[in-house]
Amino acid sequence: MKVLSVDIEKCTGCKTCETVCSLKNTGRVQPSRSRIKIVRYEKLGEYHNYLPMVCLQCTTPLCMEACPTNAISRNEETGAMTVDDKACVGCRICTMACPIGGISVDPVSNVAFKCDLCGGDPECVKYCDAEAISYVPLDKLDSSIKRSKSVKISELYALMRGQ
Amino acid sequence: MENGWAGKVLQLDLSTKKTSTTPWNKDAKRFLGGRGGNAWLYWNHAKQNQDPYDPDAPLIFGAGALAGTGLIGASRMEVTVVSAAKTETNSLGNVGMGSSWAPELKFAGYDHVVIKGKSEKPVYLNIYNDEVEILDASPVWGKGTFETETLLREMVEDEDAQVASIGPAGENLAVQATVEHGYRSGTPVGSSMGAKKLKAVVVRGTGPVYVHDADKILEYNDKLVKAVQATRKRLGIANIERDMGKDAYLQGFLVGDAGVVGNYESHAWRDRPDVRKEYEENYLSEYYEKNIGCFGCPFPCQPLYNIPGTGANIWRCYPTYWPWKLWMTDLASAFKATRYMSDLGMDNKEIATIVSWLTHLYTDGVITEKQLDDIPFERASSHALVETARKIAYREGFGKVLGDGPVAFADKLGKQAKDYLYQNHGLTLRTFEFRAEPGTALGEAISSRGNSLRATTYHVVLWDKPAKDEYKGYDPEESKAAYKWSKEMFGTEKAIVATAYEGKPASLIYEMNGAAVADSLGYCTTMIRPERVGAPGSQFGDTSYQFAAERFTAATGIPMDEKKMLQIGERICNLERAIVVRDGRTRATDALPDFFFKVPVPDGAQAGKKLDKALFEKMKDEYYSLRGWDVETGYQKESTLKTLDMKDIAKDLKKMKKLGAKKKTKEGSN
Repeated sequence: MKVLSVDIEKCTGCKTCETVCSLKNTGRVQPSRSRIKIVRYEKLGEYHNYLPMVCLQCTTPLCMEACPTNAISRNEETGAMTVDDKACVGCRICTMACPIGGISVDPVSNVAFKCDLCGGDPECVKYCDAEAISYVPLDKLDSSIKRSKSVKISELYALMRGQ
Repeated sequence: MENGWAGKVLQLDLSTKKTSTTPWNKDAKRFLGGRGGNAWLYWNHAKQNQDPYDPDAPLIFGAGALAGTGLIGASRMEVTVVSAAKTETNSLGNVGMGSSWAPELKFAGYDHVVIKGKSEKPVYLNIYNDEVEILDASPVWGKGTFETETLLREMVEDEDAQVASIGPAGENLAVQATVEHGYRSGTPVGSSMGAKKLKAVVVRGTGPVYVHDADKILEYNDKLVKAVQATRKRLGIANIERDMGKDAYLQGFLVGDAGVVGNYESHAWRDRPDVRKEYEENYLSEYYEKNIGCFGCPFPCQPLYNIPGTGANIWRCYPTYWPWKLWMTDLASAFKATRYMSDLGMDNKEIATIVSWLTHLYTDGVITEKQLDDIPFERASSHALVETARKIAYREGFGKVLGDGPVAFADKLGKQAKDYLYQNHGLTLRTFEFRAEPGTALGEAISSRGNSLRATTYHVVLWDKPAKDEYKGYDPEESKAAYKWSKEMFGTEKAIVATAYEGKPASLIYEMNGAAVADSLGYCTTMIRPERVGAPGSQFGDTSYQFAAERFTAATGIPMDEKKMLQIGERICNLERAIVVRDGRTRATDALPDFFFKVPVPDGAQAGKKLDKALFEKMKDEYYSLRGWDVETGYQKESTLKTLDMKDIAKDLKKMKKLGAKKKTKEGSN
């Protein structure tokens, strides 16, 4: 099984993920309906930081537990938590329960919507040239994160050795 | 529901506070959107030779036709005004910018915004979907553009709102003022906004942009990402080599085309090993943070630096082509000044060129400190640069007159000072060595906007130039393909050789038409390009105008091919020509200063070169003929405009007696 992995240090804030997500899922470009959202921390002339916010498909999904109509369930094949549009009543309790803002209510359909990993082929990952979002096998996630973080440590080590 | 376009133009009057919308109709779509769309609105809303500060003068914002359609690289906006910087006749000034404003305008539901009238008190415009408000700008009036953006986002309570604003320079009607958005901008249009007492246009949209074929757009994007990755692999280079901006910037000076030193005083200075060493060692890499880019483009190309105690800014690509104009090697000071000028909202190239002119006058003893508020204009003086910027922005001391443009100041300083000033229609000339590059010179002379890298020549300037041995991004495969293409396209390989006269009018027309298309679609200027040699942007693979045509079809559903696309470009160029002709342009004013014809390049690889008047005029003949314009007057012919589906424009020009002679005129001077 694969999961989305986010490296916040790599995001450039371009929002390509938002455009392609909305294109793929709604057939039009509308970032306000994208399943992934880049949160900007910008102060012109000072800093530009960006955080990709997207459902990470929790092991213990609080959205599912909080849902009073049992509209949320796990897709066994992809591991994604999915919303049954017909069962969802748009009460937004899931949005309160989720610790990372991974689920919202669609401004058009008025039912909950979230990342479903595009059925196992997440569109956003394909265009993320910065590799801020990647789709990795769960059993390789650990080594993938450690490798990415080790880059900084190895630079530091090189500095310490005076290279 | 429309595909691609939002389908609406927002119009408002700051005097009456009335707003309305009009459809972006079939007539308007002839010119796509962005730069072309703005030109159409300008044609309809601006008066002949209108005073730039006439309350009724239009201030036009436009999103590229493909902005917000999800296509990678289509995110640019355009601002068009009656330029206050022009000296001969009042006419159009425009500037294109990337970042996120244009897509946001589309999500709000508009293609263009036309602002007329004049507010009594400082205001800003807040567009949130259908809600359009004119609000009190007193909390931000007087502030720099950086703080303005942050404060306005707080004031409208939306971190995702996009801001295009002016700084103190625009408020105080300095003609060098810009409209700034996300560190972008470049060409003076800001004082037209200041004259309306309009501080900023804030836009936020949550709606959709409909597209004809979503799957196709995703497929095109996927292809593009793969092309970039493949190029990287083929060249065996890290992303950083070509994309970081350091390369384009340094190479531009050290081996490229941007090596004019001082006020056209030298070329060889850069060849001195000590100077090269200074530049290489002074490069700001230790302050480099990351690249930032535009909405919907995963290949950010603007390097962001953060110097402790100074703050962050980007080295914008073209504006960085000036430290050598001031004989500066201290890049940290140059960076600080750039940042300061972005914050004041002014064109740093224009200011730097003015300072290089004053420095030249000062070192030659034409003027003294007394005329410059006791500031010594020594070479490489960052103090003189920063003070000039400040004085112009706040209209203090010599900035009072200089803020009206360098020609106004030259008139005050006297004839000799004026002879040192190289300008075209009031805007300074810089960066390019016209004496060695006939095609670039022709482009500058003919350009509707003037002072124009983009509107005439942004591909042209990259003709064959990055020196092959030293340019790390040089790719022999690309080079071979480019020369083959030139031969097929224009009948001679020399058409892409910068120093040759041969084939220039034809290749310039091709370029100008293509540039007009890219600017009007909102496409990135490095992404859409014909074949050319080792220039930034070539990592995207084949992104000729066919590339744009296919993507236009995917977004709008309108059938399109390269030929038709270039014809639209031809139409847009003709509309802009009609505008400047309406305002007084003729063949006689399609000109460059005598300097470039009389004084040879003093040193360097192009030493001894100067423009040949007869060959230059011959290029003009050929250009006008190929365009279907009257060779004697430079006016357009009725038949040409009719062929381009511009009967309405021809009718208006006819009334003004501004059409070329019907009969084919004799072949000019040859």
